[in-house]
Parts: sequence; C-alpha cells; structure tokens
Amino acid sequence: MASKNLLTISSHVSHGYVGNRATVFPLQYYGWDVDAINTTNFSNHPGFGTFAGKASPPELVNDIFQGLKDIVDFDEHYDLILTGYSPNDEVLQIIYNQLITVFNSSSSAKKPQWIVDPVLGDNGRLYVSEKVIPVYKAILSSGFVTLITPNQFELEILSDTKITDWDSIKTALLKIQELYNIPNVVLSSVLIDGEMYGVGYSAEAEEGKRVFYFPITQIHCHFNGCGDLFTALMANAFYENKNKLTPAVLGDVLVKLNLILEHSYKAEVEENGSTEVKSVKSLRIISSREVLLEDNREDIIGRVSYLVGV
Amino acid sequence: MSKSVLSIQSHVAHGYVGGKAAIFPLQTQGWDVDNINTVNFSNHTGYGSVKGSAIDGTSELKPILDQLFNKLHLQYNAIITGYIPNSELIGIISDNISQFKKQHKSTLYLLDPVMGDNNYLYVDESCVEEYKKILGNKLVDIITPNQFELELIVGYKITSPLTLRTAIDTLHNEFNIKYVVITSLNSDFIDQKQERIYCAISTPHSHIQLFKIPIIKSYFTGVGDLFSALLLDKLYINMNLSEDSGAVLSRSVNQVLTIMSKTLKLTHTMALQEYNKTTQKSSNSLVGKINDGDTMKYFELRIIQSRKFFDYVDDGEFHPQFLSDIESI
Repeated sequence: MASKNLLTISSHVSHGYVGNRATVFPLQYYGWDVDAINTTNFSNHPGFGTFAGKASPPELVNDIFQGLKDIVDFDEHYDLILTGYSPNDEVLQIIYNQLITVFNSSSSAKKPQWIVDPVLGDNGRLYVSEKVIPVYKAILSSGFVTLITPNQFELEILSDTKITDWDSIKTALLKIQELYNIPNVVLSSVLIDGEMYGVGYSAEAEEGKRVFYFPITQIHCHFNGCGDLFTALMANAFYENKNKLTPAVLGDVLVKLNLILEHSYKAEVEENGSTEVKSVKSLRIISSREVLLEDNREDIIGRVSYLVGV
Repeated sequence: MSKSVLSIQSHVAHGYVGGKAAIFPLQTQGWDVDNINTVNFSNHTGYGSVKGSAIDGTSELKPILDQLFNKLHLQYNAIITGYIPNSELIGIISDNISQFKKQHKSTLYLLDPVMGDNNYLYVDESCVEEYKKILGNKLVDIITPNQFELELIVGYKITSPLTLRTAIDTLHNEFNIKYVVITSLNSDFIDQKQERIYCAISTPHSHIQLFKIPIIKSYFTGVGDLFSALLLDKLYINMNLSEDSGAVLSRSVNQVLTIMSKTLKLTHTMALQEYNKTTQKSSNSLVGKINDGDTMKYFELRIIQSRKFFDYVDDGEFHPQFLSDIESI
C-alpha cells in the first residue's frame, strides 16, 4: 500500500467531533498518514454550553512546527496540508509564516497541495477574533493555496459580497479570483430562495463549466463539525482525482456528507427520544465509517447544473 | 452498539506512539474515543530531537477532566491511561478516575503504568509513588506493565519464576487487579535464549501463562501503546462471550499478539521498501536505531496500513505454556 501523507492544523477537543477530531479519523480511514498540530486543547466545543481547557499558546504551535521541520522534509513528505480552525490571529500568523517559508524556499518539483478552510464563523456570526480576517486574506493571496472551503458567511467576508441569489454568488466567485486567484473553491452549502446547494468552482475547467452546483436535501438541524468533516472528505476526493475539482468529486462528497448527517440525526433522535432535534453536537463519524468507503461519484451526477458567465 | 472510551496519553504530531498508536485502532473497531493529550510533542523522543510541552495540570488537565466527568456527565465503557509525563498529572488523573470509578463501577479501567523499559526510567522517580497510589485505590481492572515497570511497582527484581509469581500475586491480592499482563519479560530465567521475550498473563483464578514472542531486531516505539489499546478491545468483546476470565484473557492476548505480529511484520517490510527506495540501496537488514532520526523515521508503526488486521477474531497463532510447566523442567 502506497503511503499518503498529510498535515492537518486545526482544533483539538477531548469529546465530540469538530476540528482535527472530525478530520483526522476519516482521513486515516482513507489510508492517510495524518500528522496533526492542535491549535486548541479544549474539553469540548462551546456548543455544549460550557467548556474547559485553552487555546494552544502561539509559541507551542511554533515549536511543534519547528520540531517537525527538524525531522521531516515538508516538500518531500506531505502530499496535502490542511489548515482549519485557528482561535486567534497570533496562531494563524504562525501557521502562515511557517508554511510560507516552506513554500517560498521550495526547490523541489514536488510540493504539498495546500487546502484552506478559512474558519471565521457561520450564519452571520464570527466565532473567531476579527483580527483573523486579514491573516486569512494574506494566506489566500500567497499564491500557494490550491483549494478553499468557505461556508456562505465566510465567502461573503472574503469577497466582501452579500450573497442573496445566483448573481451574487457569481460576483463573489469572480471577486475571489480577482483578489486571490485561487484555482478551486467549494461551498458545502449555500441557501438560495429557501433551497440548499453545494457549489464548486474550478478555474481550469472550460468556460461555462467552471461553476457547478447540486441541490442538497436540507436537514433542519445544526451539526457541529459539519464543515470540518466536509473539508476532510473534499481533501481526499480532490487528491484521489489527481488534484482536480469536478462535479463528480463534489457530488461524491455531498452524498457522503448527507449520509453521515442523516445517520447522526437519526441517532440523536433515538437517544433523545424526541423528534424535535435542533442540533447535533457530536457527529456519529465512527459509527458511520463504512459510508466513507463507498463510491458515490455517479449517485447525483445527473442533477448537476452549471452557472454560466464565470 | 456504540462503545466509548476515554484515552489519556501522549500526542505527537508525527509518528505513532501514545494516542496516535492507540486511538485509530480503537476507532476502526467502533469505539468512540475521547482523548486527553498529556503532552503535545512534534514527534517521539526516539528521533534524538523533539519539541513541544506537557499539558498544564491546573489550567488544562484538571478542568478538562472535571468538565467531562462532572459537567457533561459523560459515561464511558472504558478508560485507558498511558504515558503521563510527571507525578502532578498522574495525581490529578488518579483522583478524578477514582471518583468516577466509584460512581461507575462497570467502566473498565486499563492502566499502562508507563515509566520505562530495560532498566531505564523515562519519567521522574516520583511517578512510581503516584502509580502505587492509583493501585492502592483498588480500582484498576487491567494492568499492562513491562518487566521493569512491574519491578518498580513491587520494589524487587524479577529473577525467577517464584519472584514473578509473587509479584503477580501482589497485583491481584493487594491491588485487586483482575487482568494482569506483563507485556515483556526477559527470558533469562525461563530458557536462557536471548532472541525471545515472554508475555505473562494471569487472572485471580487461573494459572499464570506465558506467550513466547519472537523478537524482530529493531527499535520500534509505540508497540506497548498499540498492545494496550488492542487488549482493551479484545477483552471487552471476549468478556461478553464468556464468564471464564482466565480463558477470556488468554484468548484476548493471543489475538492481540497475532495482530501485533502482523503489524510489526508489515512495518518492517514497508520500512525496508521505503529505505531502499529513498537511498537506492538493497538492504534487507535495516534496523531502527534509537536517537537516530535517519533510520527511526522508517520504523514508525504502520498503524494506518495495518487497519485490516485489527478486526481479527480467530483463536490466535500463539501457543501459551503454563509457568508451572516451565518451573518443573
């Protein structure tokens, strides 16, 4: 079995599945050797109402990068680098500095693909310090990022465009290209006229096929860690498709995500004995692990639409 | 059926020791694993260089345990503890688990008293006393020391079948531990052959058994951590199939050793392949050397690639002997 090596930098919680806890296991199950740097050391995510622990001190994150660099050649070793939740701008700045040094000094033909989930907030609300925003903008402008996975709110902030309809999505994606020139953008869900869609943008696709989207079944419930899991699934599917984002890749990931969310929802309903479940605090990633290994690339491919004019 | 375990051990960003060796195997077998990282290191110490730090007791470990146990009121089918870097942290873990276990008697507690190996102590000496305090609370169900760690706990050297028997009896009788597994015993007093080590197992109402383990001549790390995680999984399954604790432990250890053997063989094969590919050599005798990052990096346990081995449920490929049979030779 060939080795695939990935570095993921995101939050750690002892209980529940968000941040690295939502990304590491699925990627390992896909056969990735996953190196993980934790940006937090929390008992659980704040969605439980209370939590304990603390954010990783910036010096610790820096030290661990340094320690890794002492034993691993980043260019040679890593196929993918994933960055997710950073609790503050100091930690994100260190991640930026450390990775930029790697990419800038790279003399090797082989370079890791850098996938960034610009974690800022959701549903109109920031859950990190706003000082993080300029650092993300610098990261995206670096020219080294292959794929980003913002949610609707994050896309709005990064593109400075309010999203209300397909025209504004078009504007936002064009703006992302103009500002950062990112070759691949994926949105796990956007809400347009009460309907939910998953949207992909691939710069290298031919004109008229660059932006594609699928309608997705809405589950009226909040799932903590959903975005982190989505990014992990996307990272693997993208890599396995030779670093190309296509409707089949997006369709595959959307189907799997939906199956895991449905399974988690049902489990929550069963455990609570109530049908009024408004939030699922812990995704049932372990008990739905077999979903990961299915091939869903063709499942919804017939339902793809394209947005012309991008 | 969902099963949950709280794992308290080390985290390394790169490589497979502590939590990185234990968590994934458990997850593949359906365990929801909550984990507290006792250290955050870049890699294990076998590379000769390492960066990172231990978790802080007052601002992290204590409040996190309190949150999980007393605020979220989480239930666990099992708790497993491994490498804990200092006595303050061992004390906090001991206090919290004791309290938890008193209210949740059915939660299985596996303690791997990670202190050292081959007469070398890699934690502070004060840890020995803290581990003895945990044991004194009589709440440990499964223990997996190596020979050196057993010696530290009982306070004397294991030099004969009799000292081994006495030490194991202490674990059963004084500390009320049901499942005892001494993960690696030097063969000196058993058969004088240096190329083997032994694994000794015991329950209160069965005779001590020995498993002969062939040695792969290389330095691997994380082996003990993987062993304990797999043991927990197999014991948990087998306990639900049989009441005979001696037979349950013997079967479980046999299964675990079989998986370990497959995993180590794969690790060794892949290490050679990668080494030869990278260095353009055709070695078949590469060994991982401690404090040598250049060879060590090839000898990280292939935990990910060994996924297919972890669900092994057959009888096991080993043939245990009774200690009493050896004594009579």
